[in-house]
This record gives sequence, C-alpha cells and structure tokens, in this order.
Amino acid sequence: MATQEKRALLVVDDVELNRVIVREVFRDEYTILEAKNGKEALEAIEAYGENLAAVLLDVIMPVMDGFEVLEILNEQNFMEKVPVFLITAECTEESTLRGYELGVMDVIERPIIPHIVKKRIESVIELCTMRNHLNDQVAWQEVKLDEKTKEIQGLNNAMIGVLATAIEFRDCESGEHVKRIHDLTLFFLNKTAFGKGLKAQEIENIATAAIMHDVGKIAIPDYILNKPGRLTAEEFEIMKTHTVRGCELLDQIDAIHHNSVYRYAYDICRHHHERWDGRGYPDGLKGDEIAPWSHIVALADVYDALTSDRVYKKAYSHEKTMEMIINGECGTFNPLLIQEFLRFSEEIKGLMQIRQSGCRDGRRKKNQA
Amino acid sequence: MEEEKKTKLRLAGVNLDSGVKRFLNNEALYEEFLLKFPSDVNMQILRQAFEAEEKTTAFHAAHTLLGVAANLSMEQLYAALRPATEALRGGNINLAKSYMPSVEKAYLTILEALK
Repeated sequence: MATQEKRALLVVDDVELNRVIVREVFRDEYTILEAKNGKEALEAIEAYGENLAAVLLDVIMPVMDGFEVLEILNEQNFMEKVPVFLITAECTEESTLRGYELGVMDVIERPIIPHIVKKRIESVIELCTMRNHLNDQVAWQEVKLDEKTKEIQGLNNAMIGVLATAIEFRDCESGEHVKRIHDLTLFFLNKTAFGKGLKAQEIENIATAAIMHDVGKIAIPDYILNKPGRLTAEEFEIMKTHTVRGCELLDQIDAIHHNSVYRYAYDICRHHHERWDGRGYPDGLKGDEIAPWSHIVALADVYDALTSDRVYKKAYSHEKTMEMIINGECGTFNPLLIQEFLRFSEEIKGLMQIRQSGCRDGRRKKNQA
Repeated sequence: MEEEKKTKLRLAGVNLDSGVKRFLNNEALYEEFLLKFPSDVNMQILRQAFEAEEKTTAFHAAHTLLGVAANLSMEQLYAALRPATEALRGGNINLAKSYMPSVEKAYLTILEALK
C-alpha cells in the first residue's frame, strides 16, 4: 500500500477533538475525510464508495446517529466491501452486540490508545483489502471460465454439426436438413406444451441431439442409402438398422457418456422412427412410451423429407405435406402434436422457407441415372 | 504550558502523560484541546437537561462529555461521569442526578486549573 496513492479514511464524529485524535493517528498513511454526523457520513460514502479504506463511526451524534447509518449501510451491503468501526465512549454489551449484528468489524472504546487502535484498524483494513482482491479474482476467473465453457460448447456443437452433415451428404441431403431438424425441434419445444418443464438449456441440448438422429446411417451401404427406386424388403430391413447402429456408435464413445446431450441423442437415434400406433421400429413403442423429443424429431424428419427433394421424389409444398401428415400417409403421430403442428402451420412454413434448399442438382442426376 | 498549570491539572485528575501520548506526543495539539475544553458546551447542556428533566438530551450530553474527558485523559471527570451516563442510558434521571455533585466538583477543578 505504501507505494500507492494514499487511501481515504472516513472519520464520523460530532466532536472535533475526537476527529482530530483519529486524524493524528492516521494522517501519515491515509487521507482523512471528516463528517460531523450520520447524514454527512452517508454523503461521503456515496461519493467515495468502495474507495474508502475504512469508516470510523461515532454512535451518538446529532441529525443522524451511528446506528441509523449502520442500518442504511447494512441494507446497501456496503460493509461487505469496506470495514466499519464503531467508536464510543462506553461499550455496553447491548450496543456492542447491535453493532456486530449490523455488520461492523470492531467496536472501539474511548479513550483510544493510539498505537493499539492503529494496529487493530490496520489489520482489519489489510484483511478486507485482501478479501476484496480475492473476490475480484474469483469473479474474474468465473467470467473467464464462462467464456471457455461457451467456447467449448460452441466447438462441440460445431463438431456435432460437421459429423451429422457429413452423414447427410452421403444420402444426398444438404447440411441444411440437420439445421432444419434442429430448428423445428427447438420451435416445438419452445412454443408448445411439449416443452413444458424443460429448462432452456435442456431444450438447447435436445435440439443439438436432434442433429444426430441419423448418425447411424454411416453404417448403411451406399447402394441402399442412395437407391433411387423402392427398397426391397431385405434392403429396408438393413436401412431400419440405422436407428440402433446410431446408438451403438454413441455407445462406443465413452467421453460423451457424461455429456447431457448424450442421453437425448441416444433416445432420438433409437426412437425417431417409432409410430404413435406402435407400428414403428426398432422397438415398436406405442403412444406415450415414445419420449416427446423423439416423437417431435420423428415428425420434423417426416415434414422435412416431404418438403425436400430426394433421390426418389420431388419436394412437396408445405400445404400438400400438411395434408399428407394429417391423413396419416407418413406415419402416425400423437394427435395433440398434430394439433400443435396445425396451430403453428404458418410459422413453421416461414421458418422452414428460410432454410429451404434441396439436393444439389449434379448429385441428384448422377443418383437417378 | 507552564509547570504550575501542569501541576494544577494533575491535581485536578488529568493524566497529562497518557494524554499527550494520545496525541502521538504532539504536546501543542494536546494543549490546544485542553485549553478549548472550557468552551465545550456539553456540561451546560447537561445541567439544563437535568433542570428540564430531558432524559435523552441529558444522556447525549453526558455521553459526549464522557468521550471528551476520556480522550483528554481527564480521569477524575471520566470516573465521575461514567456512572451518571450509565444511569441516564437506563433512563434513571434521579440516580444520575445523585452523581452530579462529584461530576461538578471534577469539572470545576479542571476549569479552575485551566484559568
């Protein structure tokens, strides 16, 4: 502290003599500010705030007494940052206790003994300075840690995106497909009752997990994945395994088992082809046995497949797609989910148009050939 | 300050040695406040408050005077004021009044010494 500029010490006392004695004790190390009553003290505290090294407060003063000042400072949590001392002519048990309860660091009785008071006060100032410094450091590190976490999360999401997009590329779907599934899932969980009870972070995690719904397709041979015509029964059986193969893939990466996204990704991979009537695969789950996030991804996947160009078909319009879904031509869904889908039809149409783009022409021609 | 005055003050129960230490051996500053003591209004306020039976005013004046006496090392005055202040804190004005003769005596002796 010696090398730095002098810090300020506020002395609050209505009696000049008392202020002068404190001033004499501390004048070499501190800039002494004086206040004659509680009101003046609060004005000085307002002006100097946490730059004050300490406040030495008399109890009995005109205009506003020491305890009134303490009550206000206590409300403002000022004493968490700056140590306040009571100085009084008689320390009764009651007033000392009241002082401590209100947050003072120490209670000093008159007559003061300069060298002892100086030691007592300086020790506390040093302690508080160190504590504040430590708190600042912890706060700064928390900010840094938060930045790092966000950076890692961002990187994580980017990697997931890259992986999923790479797989989509194989069956001629652009990277936009996974982004649309992500957006639709996010939309449903945020706007409808299906996301009720889920925290914002969890909804984010589910949407990220949704990106990985088809990760198991990496295990499906090209000739099946990109076959322009109808799949044979045998080929379709192989195609269906992309659900469980996705889970196997996730299972093999130990590092992600602790990741909160993993739980959702696993469920979505496995169950995004289940049907409300129980005739889906791989487990034939029925109704509420299917987790809402997996069911939402199933609907989003169907919607996106219908409204996009595929190797075996052209894109349908939003309206035609809605009609096909309602008529049960592309699976069966929870009627409540369909109801919500209809309710937000226009918004979904708008949301998806931004991201709409089909398969690249070159690839499609080649595949169709 | 001349020796004669110092002796008188010592006899009036003022501990000059401990007093000057409180001013970090700044004798001039201590003297300045000793000489200012007769113009301190708290004794006057205390007397009037007793007359008017104003407990709170009496307590505040006694308490402030007690602090001043303590800081100036006026040990006799401090010792006399202390029970009076305590009585006033408890609101017992009659008990406090009973201590006043010794307070007055200590106070007037100091004033006499400072003349």
